[in-house]
Amino acid sequence: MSSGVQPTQECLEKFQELKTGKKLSYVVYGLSEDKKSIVVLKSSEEKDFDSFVGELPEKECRWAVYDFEFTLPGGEGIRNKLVFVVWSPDDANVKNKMMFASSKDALRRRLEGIHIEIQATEFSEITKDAIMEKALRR
Amino acid sequence: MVYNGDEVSALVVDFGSYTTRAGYAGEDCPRIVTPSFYGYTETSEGESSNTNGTGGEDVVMDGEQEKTVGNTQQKTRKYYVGDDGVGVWRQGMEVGNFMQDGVVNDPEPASRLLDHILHDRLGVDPTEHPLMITEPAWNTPKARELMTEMVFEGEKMPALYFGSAGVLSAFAAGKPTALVLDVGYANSSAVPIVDGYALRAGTMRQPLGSQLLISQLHSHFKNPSSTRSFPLSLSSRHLIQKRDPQPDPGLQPKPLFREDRLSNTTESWRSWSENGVIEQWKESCTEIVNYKGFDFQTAKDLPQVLYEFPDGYHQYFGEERYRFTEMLFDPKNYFNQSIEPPATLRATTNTDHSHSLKDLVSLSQLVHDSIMSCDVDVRAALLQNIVVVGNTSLTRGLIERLDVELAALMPSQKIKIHSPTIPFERKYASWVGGSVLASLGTFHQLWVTKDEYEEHGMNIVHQRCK
Repeated sequence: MSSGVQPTQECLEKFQELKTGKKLSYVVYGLSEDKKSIVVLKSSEEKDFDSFVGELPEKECRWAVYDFEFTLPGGEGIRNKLVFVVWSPDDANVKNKMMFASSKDALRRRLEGIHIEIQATEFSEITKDAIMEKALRR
Repeated sequence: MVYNGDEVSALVVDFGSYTTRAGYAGEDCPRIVTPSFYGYTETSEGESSNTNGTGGEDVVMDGEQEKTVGNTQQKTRKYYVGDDGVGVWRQGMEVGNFMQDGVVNDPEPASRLLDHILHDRLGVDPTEHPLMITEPAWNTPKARELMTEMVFEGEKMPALYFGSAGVLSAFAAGKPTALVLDVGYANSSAVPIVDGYALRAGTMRQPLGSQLLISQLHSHFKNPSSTRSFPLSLSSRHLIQKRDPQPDPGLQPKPLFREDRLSNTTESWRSWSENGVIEQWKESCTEIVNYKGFDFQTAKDLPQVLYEFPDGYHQYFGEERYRFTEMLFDPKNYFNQSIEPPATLRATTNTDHSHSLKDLVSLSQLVHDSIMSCDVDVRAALLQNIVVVGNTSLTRGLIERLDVELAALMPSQKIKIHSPTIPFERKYASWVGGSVLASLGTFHQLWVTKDEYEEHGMNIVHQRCK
């Protein structure tokens, strides 16, 4: 079941840019004003993880893709993995949560090459450690 | 017809085992919460012509006429639905419920209720409003068919959609992926939702909900106990002329009954009203201890509350507040099988996806089994996104206890329980979810229109409502 809300072309282009361009560090997605499409709210080259997390509002849902760079244990080099974040804070209202939850799949399945997916309701769930744990598991 | 923008003006109806919820899509909570129980009286043909139960029966096909000839005992039923249905005492009125095992089972009273909701309560013209109906993950094709006929042929509504209750509850909690534990009246169920789809393979349910709890309490109150030398009357206010307030707790009251009503009250109505009295007690008094392993010794030290029944009996209740709800987490020891359970609950049999009354498991085990029957890849995500809904889940202490039990069951796992903090969002989770979804202009391509149904029949409904 889904809401029928679809991502705009820009959403997919920004994702491609992030994936292949190696310049962007993250893209934050949200819903358009009229709630009829998924749009890019922000894209940035800022690599700092905390500033990425800072983009997520306390009382509103978001989706985001973050290019996670990490060092393999034992000095085996640096790796990058794309993380898809579903941000749905408890303090968001039901309508907002419902809209995002029912539209997520429309965006997610158009983005190829995501390795890690995180469904978070609190900031404590989006930490470098939590992502690292998932990154190393595969 | 095309639906877009704000012109949708859809309605949402959520048929539950205890109450049916209905209202306008886009609103925060249902306008109408009304019993799924209905009253009926039966009169032999010819005795009374003033029944609304005969609509359509006047037209008899030629070939069928012979069948009814000779059957002089044919009875017509008059139905009483909605708040003024079962809630009002009527001479000789029996009580039924059109739901069984969480599924709409009896189309006649169900369509009466839908009609009552649309015309008498909401006061809308059904031909102008699309309708979303919520359905459990185990809904049957037969029940879908009944409801579809009800909506398109009975009410001539322009469009319909069946929303999966579990998915709607998960979405309303902001989660495309979640394990939804719904503790309701007839059932408790665990439904795994992954990316917006309910996984039938992992769906588990059992008849362990407040209906079973109430039947156990009914037997407890109707028989003398170690602290009470007499049975309680459990009479509702309908049957009492004057209550008999007692000066001290624990004394047997002698209320003045309405003698005129007593002899004309049916067994089914009496039982329904007594259960209502217990339901009230249950809602105000029961709690669940937040540790594993309830025992009577420690229960004696638990806090007591004063409660007064409609007939005037009042008492400080202590361990009874905790003992019966313990059944939800320890059915082996606290579900007394010697007390006859309600007949409708016995219909649930043992399958891969359900437990019968004889094989009830704790709510935590139900969650565990449901998750373990899912693919390994999704288990971690489900464990961290357990969404608890349903009226019985509002029992104080239930969430905390579930947390304790799950941690003991799966010690090495990261477990996280999410439960809406606003009570009505938990009680009416699937209605609330359906309300948002059905109000969206972008949702229009999913509605099954009346024209499409007339052209393709049930196939299009099954195809689109997944």
